[in-house]
Amino acid sequence: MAEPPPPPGPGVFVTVGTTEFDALVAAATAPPFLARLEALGFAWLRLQVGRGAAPHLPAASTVGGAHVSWFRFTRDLPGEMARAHIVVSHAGAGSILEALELKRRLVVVPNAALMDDHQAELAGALAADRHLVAAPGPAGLCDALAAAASGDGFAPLGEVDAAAFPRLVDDEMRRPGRCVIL
Amino acid sequence: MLNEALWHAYAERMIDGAAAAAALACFLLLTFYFHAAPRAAGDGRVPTLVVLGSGGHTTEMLRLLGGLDASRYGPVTLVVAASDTTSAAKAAGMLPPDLDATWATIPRAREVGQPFVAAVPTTLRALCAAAAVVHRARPRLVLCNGPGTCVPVAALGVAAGARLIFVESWCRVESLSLSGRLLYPVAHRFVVHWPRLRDRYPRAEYLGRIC
Repeated sequence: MAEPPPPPGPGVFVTVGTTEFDALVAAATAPPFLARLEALGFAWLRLQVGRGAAPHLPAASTVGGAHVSWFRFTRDLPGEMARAHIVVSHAGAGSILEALELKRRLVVVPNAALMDDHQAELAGALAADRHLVAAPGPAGLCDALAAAASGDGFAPLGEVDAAAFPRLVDDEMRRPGRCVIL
Repeated sequence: MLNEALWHAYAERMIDGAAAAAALACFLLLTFYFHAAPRAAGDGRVPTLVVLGSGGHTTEMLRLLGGLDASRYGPVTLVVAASDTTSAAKAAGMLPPDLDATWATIPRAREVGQPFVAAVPTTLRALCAAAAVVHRARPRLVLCNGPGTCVPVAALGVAAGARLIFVESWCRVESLSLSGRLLYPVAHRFVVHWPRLRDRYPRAEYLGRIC
């Protein structure tokens, strides 16, 4: 289970969800990224690595000036996200929605190995509306982090219109019957 | 040698054709059966069938269910794939408390990676299970949002005279899911999360952010 919480100060949380995304974990624990992290003034980096290969780091350590820790799964993903200043996530719809609802600055990295084009589609569409920063792949992670750290133009998601769908269902059930098959 | 290959191809076509004919016959029989059978008198509520799928689909569907008037819609039968225990566990914790919910499971037609030929008996089994669920629930409304398991249940529900409201998944921005493409012609209402899809599909409705 999860390591004890990171030290105070601004930090970055990386999540790959329930699958594996070794390329993202590797990019987020590589020296260039850690150096950029420190240069941007972050005190800690924490990774949720899922089922993938373990990072070449102890579960908790200090690299350069930043405290780095990782774990595989947690029951409290929202809690982990809420602690972070910036969330770096795979392109899964659930994780994206969770981070945006917590009003986190979000960097999304689509997993090319999944061949799941519509995930990249979602990230691209949300990036176009300035809800998040979409990295083209793990190689673009450093620049995406810098863009998210400096960006003050993040647009929050609109509020949920909770009445719209029930209204549509009620409206449909009030309509007179019609036969669509025969 | 050549003859054998030809025979093989021929036999395969025959099997495909027979399966399609059997499916069509079942569909028509069910349609007549359900339309002829008298409906239970009921209490004026709308019996509802909801198909839950894997992780993301389930979360989105449960959010949508939260807004329904529990005094108008019930009993609500939640259908999950038999091998999908996470959806059931997740859903049980997120259901609106006043919802009159019951559970039903159906086996998967095809597990990921299963060869096509081996899927014939499992598909038939899944279809029978779906028919049994529809028969028991007698739905007037079927709600589904895109997992593969929803197609047979939704199609049988429509055959049984229920209204089908299909909600495409939030992650479909430019194109419909396979379930969406299959059910677009038969759904009474078809809801999408992105304006671009509404522009491409004239029957699709865009309601803004709904979950």
